[in-house]
Amino acid sequence: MSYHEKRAIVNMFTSVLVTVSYSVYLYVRYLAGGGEFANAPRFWANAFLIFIPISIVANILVTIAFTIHYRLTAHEEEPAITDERDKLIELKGSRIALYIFSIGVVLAMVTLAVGMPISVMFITIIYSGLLSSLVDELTQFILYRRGF
Amino acid sequence: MSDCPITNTIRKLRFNHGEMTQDELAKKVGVTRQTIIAIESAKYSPSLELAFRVARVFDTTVEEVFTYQPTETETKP
Repeated sequence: MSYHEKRAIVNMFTSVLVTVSYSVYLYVRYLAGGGEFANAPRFWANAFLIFIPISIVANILVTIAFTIHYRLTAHEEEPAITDERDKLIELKGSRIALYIFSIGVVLAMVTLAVGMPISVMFITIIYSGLLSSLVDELTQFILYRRGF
Repeated sequence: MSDCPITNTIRKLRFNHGEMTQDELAKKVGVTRQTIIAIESAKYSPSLELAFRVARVFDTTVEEVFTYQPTETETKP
């Protein structure tokens, strides 16, 4: 398995781990609030804004750990360049991810329109972000596995 | 099987140039070895710029390296 394929798998696991862990943390806080946070926009907006840096930092840490692990186990350095095929593969993954996230945002608006609690809207956005990230990495994995 | 309509003679050209490795060719044209593998196996069609760079390494023309295989539905103008 190539560097990029391994990296895609690691990124998928990281996305799932970070999102699920944060969801559990939020759920515990939500229960502690006795359900009063269901329609508290400030609570959910804060939860969403805090999730972004947590996700970025987690990805940076995992990338560093993965790079060190790859060098030690594969006895070679990660590819030093990103060539035209890498960029095309990345673009294909990003395009599909963008479609999925856009659908997620529309669905989130639908939940508000039909009168669901505001928590459902934020959860829909967070999980459509997770789904788009997974599909992005999976697309890249498949394209690297096939050659293009 | 690949749907790529562009075939190439890179493997033969590498052989004729002192068994040049895929890694050596990759470094000369500025891409990764995986990209050379994908081009050689006709899974990936390189950009025009990369095609010229590959041809330049072998001191030949692009037509000598890459050949376009028209599909059956395509007709000549």
